[in-house]
Amino acid sequence: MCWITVGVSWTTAVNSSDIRNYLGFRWETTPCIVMWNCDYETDQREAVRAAMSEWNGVADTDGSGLVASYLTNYVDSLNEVNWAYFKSSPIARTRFNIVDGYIVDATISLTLMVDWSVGATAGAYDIQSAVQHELGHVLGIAHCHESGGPCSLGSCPNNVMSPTFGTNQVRTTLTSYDITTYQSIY
Amino acid sequence: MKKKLVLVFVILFAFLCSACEIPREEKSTVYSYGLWPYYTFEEACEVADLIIVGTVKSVDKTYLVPAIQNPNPKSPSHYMALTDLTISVEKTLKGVEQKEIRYTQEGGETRDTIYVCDEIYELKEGERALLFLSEGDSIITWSVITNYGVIPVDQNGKITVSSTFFPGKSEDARSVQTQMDVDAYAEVISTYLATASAE
Repeated sequence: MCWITVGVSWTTAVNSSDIRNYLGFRWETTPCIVMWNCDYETDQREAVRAAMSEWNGVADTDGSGLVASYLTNYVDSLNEVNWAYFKSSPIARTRFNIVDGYIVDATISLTLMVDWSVGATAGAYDIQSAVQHELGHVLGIAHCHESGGPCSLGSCPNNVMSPTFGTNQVRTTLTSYDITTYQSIY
Repeated sequence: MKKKLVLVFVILFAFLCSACEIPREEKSTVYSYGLWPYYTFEEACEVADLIIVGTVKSVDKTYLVPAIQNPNPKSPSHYMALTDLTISVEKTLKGVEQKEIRYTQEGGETRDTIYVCDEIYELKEGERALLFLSEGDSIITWSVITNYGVIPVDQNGKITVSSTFFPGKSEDARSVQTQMDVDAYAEVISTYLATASAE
């Protein structure tokens, strides 16, 4: 098993009623250190770190946002990035434990029911794209629209936080939806 | 005799404790958000092993399965909640015709926890729906192929479906919600499947 540590600096308070694309909960402390147990192979782990780095690059509204990702010898039962066997059909999932409106623990799991790749590969899903999407949820960001629901812009499928994803694709460039929603929360 | 009586009371007490439900507002909640496979209409018709219109006859108790390898029993987010439903099939558009099927949906409620799976329509007893299903690894229960593969039918026989979930459309187009008769949409699916199998 390997471990990934993420440090997050949050400086602004959130008024959830003003934020449309907000899941309704966030991490409480500012800054917050979220440490991850990650049970992947080396190249896959690097893809997870790359996903973290993309979010790390987004500044908070005051410009001080920082997420540092690195390996460390940390382990507990909180904040897992792991494989799972899903009976239902999502390819990736994030589950939260919420206490008083704040996230205290998040678990990201990728299903073993499909093929995974690092980068675009026919018939397989790109790990970084999927983990980056789930990390968006971990930060409290909702989908830009629900699949099957109205999608007002033709560009919605380009958002990292679009609810569906296809094989042989890479979707790791954060769009204005992804960035402004992050900045509206922190 | 006295010992037997005590034993009966202990068993009865244990049974009552296990049966008593925590009030809903006092239950903890585990929220779950996901990333779902994207399929065009054509791909969904191909991937689904079974496409039906049916009505939920009964809903079983929710049960938990590990959501990750080596879960910690003390962490609710390490588990996923599943609920099995029995669906009376009224129309089979693709797959082997059956009178009833068992369908596993994600989410549900246990004695002390509510598991909310936000992006997928949660079917309840008596509700009618059009479903795109796959066998997965099980021949006993079916699962939905993607979150927009559960399309509820309202009291008037109408469904609301994305304008992109039709033949020849893709996700790249702007989508709006279209309301139409479930029978008319079933006809769109049947016609497409007939054409596809003839090619």
